[in-house]
Amino acid sequence: MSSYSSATRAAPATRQSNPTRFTIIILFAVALVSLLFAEQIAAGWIALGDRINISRRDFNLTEIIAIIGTVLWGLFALWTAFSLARHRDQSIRDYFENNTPMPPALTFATVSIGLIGAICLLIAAQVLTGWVPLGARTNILRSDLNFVEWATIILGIIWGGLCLRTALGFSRRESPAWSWGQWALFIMIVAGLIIFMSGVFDLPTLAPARSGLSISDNLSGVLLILMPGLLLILSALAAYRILAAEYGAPAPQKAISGDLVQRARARDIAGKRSPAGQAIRNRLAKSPGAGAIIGFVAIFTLFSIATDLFLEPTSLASALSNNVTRGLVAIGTTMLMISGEFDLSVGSLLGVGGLMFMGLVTGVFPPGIPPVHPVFAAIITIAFVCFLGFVNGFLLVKTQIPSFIVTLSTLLMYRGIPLVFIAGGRTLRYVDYFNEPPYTDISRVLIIIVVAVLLIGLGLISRTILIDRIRQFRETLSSYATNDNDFRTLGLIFNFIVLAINAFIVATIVILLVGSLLDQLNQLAQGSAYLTISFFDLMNGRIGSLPIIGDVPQNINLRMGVFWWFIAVIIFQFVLNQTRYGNATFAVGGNAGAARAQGINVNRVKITNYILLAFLVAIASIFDASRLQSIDALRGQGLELEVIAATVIGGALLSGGYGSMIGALLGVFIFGMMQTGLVLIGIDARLFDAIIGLIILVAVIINNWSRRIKS
Amino acid sequence: MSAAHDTERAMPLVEMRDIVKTFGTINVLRGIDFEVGEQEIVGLLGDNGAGKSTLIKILTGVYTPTSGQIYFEGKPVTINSPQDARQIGIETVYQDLALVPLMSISRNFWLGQEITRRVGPLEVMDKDEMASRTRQALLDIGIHIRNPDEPVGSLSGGERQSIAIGRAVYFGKKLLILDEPTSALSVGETAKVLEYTRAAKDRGMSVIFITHNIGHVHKVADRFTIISHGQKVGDFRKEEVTELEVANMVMTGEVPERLRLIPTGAGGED
Repeated sequence: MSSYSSATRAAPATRQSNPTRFTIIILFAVALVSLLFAEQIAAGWIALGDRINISRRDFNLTEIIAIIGTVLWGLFALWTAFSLARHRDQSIRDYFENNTPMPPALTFATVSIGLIGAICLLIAAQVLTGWVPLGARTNILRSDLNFVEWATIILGIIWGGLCLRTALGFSRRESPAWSWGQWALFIMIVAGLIIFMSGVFDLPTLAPARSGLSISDNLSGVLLILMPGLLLILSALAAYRILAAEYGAPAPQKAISGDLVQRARARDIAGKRSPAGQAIRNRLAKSPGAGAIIGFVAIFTLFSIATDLFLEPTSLASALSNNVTRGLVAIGTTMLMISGEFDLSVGSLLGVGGLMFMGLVTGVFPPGIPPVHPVFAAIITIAFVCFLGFVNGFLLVKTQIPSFIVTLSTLLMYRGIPLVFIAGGRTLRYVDYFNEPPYTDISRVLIIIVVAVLLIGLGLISRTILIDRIRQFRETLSSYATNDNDFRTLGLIFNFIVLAINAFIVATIVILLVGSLLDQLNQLAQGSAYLTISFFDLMNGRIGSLPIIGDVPQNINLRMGVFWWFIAVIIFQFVLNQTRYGNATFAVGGNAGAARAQGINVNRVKITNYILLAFLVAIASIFDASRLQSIDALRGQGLELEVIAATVIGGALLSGGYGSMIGALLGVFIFGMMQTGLVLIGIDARLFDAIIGLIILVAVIINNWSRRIKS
Repeated sequence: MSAAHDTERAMPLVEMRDIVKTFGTINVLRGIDFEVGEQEIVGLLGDNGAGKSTLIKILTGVYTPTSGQIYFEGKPVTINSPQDARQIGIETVYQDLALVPLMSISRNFWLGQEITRRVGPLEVMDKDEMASRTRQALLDIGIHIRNPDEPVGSLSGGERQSIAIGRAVYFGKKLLILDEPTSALSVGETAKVLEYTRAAKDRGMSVIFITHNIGHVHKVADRFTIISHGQKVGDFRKEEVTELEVANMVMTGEVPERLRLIPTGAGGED
């Protein structure tokens, strides 16, 4: 420890200039915003908005607290800024390791974290009891508390407690608090941005209500509403930079000559003090779904707060049902992308598959063949589309042309099939050929056998998946106390979320399967030996009733495809994580040379992944055709880019070797939530693509950041 | 190579006889004899372009020789692919190609021969078993790892080499080929890799250590084979030569007068 700190003593000299200057500027901004805010509430001279009270004698407790608090905070920020400007070499490291007095900058950070903790606890108390005069209580009766309010209370208490504990850690010179504090502030900045943005979303309703004017007429009122959020973000940013700047100091140079254990220890020490970014990066390298989880939770929370309609079953069900196609194709694309390739031709494959299926059922395509039973049509469609997938992979492997070019040309070539056979913008509709859907009588005994086989098979698969997830979670939990990683808490939360998502999907499927098993047995007992159902409905019909839940209301559009989609997620997660084939897939994309050196047939793995993707596209095309009971020549156009977008958002690397099924699922969820949510909060639907583009960019930036670990 | 000498020493593990390789009109190897004894560390030295990589690629099945014969454990073998080489127990650790950076240590260790257990009709990777056996196997040759689930990308270059060596030892390979293993490593890490190389030898493996820098291999090698312009300059036991002499031979491709007189039999290409 002593050699460690002596080696870094020289560091401050190299670390003045820009980072500190920028921190000082932020501190000044904090001071400015707080003082303006206080002035606005107290005097109202600066026209930031309508003054809350006209008469100065009317100040209520909240306003008095706000005025005094913001004035003090502003002065404190100013003091810190001046202190930083005068003594740029204040060392936080010395405070922790050499018992020097606490530097003012660290005081600012400590108080920030402590205040954030206190505010969180106060908010929780306010929502729960309404006693603290922070504002009007949302609900009067405690029994009325809704999901968001409960979440606020629980998170407020946990988060507030953690923040206060961190502040206490600072005062006690507990060095882990140093990295803890960074995490707390980092998350506060993100949370602050979310609150800020949700304020922006609420503006159309809030701002005019107060003054009877439109937003543009009342820009100052808008500012007043957003100022607390701004203040929070700026303060957290300043405190974060103070803590992080010290981390950014040159790492101690220590001659490492010992064995790997010593090296590992040295790295442990370095890891404990590494900048937050390194810790996130290490974490992301371990769990490819992490970025998608953060994105999913953030966007889900954002929409839940921004609009009441979002958490309605109607919205969620349609967000799921509308994305069955993308969801299935994203699974295959993720597999393929992990093995280092991608496929632009999926949209055309979907078109070919739909034409094949609908054409066979109606007897239109291939020409001269009479209508066949939908089950045969489905089998032939799957076989044919898989063959086209094989052609993709074969061309890639044999010609060694990059997959972009190969599948770009097959994208164009395959599209030719539906364009030729469905002439002139026509739509091939089932109802033009038959009066009623293709009803089939299915023996209930057969259904029971199939369901039972599915149940046993999925039971075995999900058992190993769940055991694996539980193992991961328990490992994180048991090593928690000894783990010095900055990111251990977040790691624990990630592992828990991954476990929870898996458990949710497994439970959903098991309940559905057991429910339908019981239902069929019941019907059989009542003497009904056959189920009459249209093949289309079996594939992707609306689910009319669910076991346990009962009848699904008419306005909720939950489709059978969602159920099949979830089953596919489980199966492919198993393939990817629990089988030798999955290991080979990772290796082929991660380092083809190493895979080959270990005896893995790289070409075969790639071709197989192309076929698996084509298989999923074929299934998706049957679902798609079943849902609309029609097909047109351009069906699936643009799908390739949407799916690659969802996959990339889900954390897979275009360069291969990295990705997860949870990521593929959440990537599509994020896509679907954006589609539904943006409409619900009233944002122009034409902005959808632009926003998705922005999300992709952010996702890829995060991915690249984590990928640097590769070199 | 005299017949008398063959009886003096144990049968070599690998013997490559009169290997010729031409690419079009270019003669890369012009009849090279090369051998590696049981439990022997051979430093294969040569300047860039001397032909040492080509020779090794023939041994590992990447190239097939234009003419010449390879004997493994005394039996003539044809090695047509890296899989063939692997099959008979030759493991190559390439500097960049050994491991997959984004996969965990344990997954890398077992890549291609994962431990599985049956769950009903399914074959499932036994990750616990893989992790614990990885840890133990590496510990056996003195490599301590903290967490087998850590991605290889977070390890240093030397640690990666060590893990690749540990893997070859564990899977009972007979011949380990290290291709320029230390060229990108620090002094301390090089020392560690050399130590594990020796540990591999102690466990019964033979090692070919390819390098153009004598300093990296002098400590561990039992013998040096020096190649220049597709021909063998000489074969020397470590006791017979100084580091400087070897370095000069690598540079000039000529055997100094003093060494020509030593009747080792293993030396010279006469």
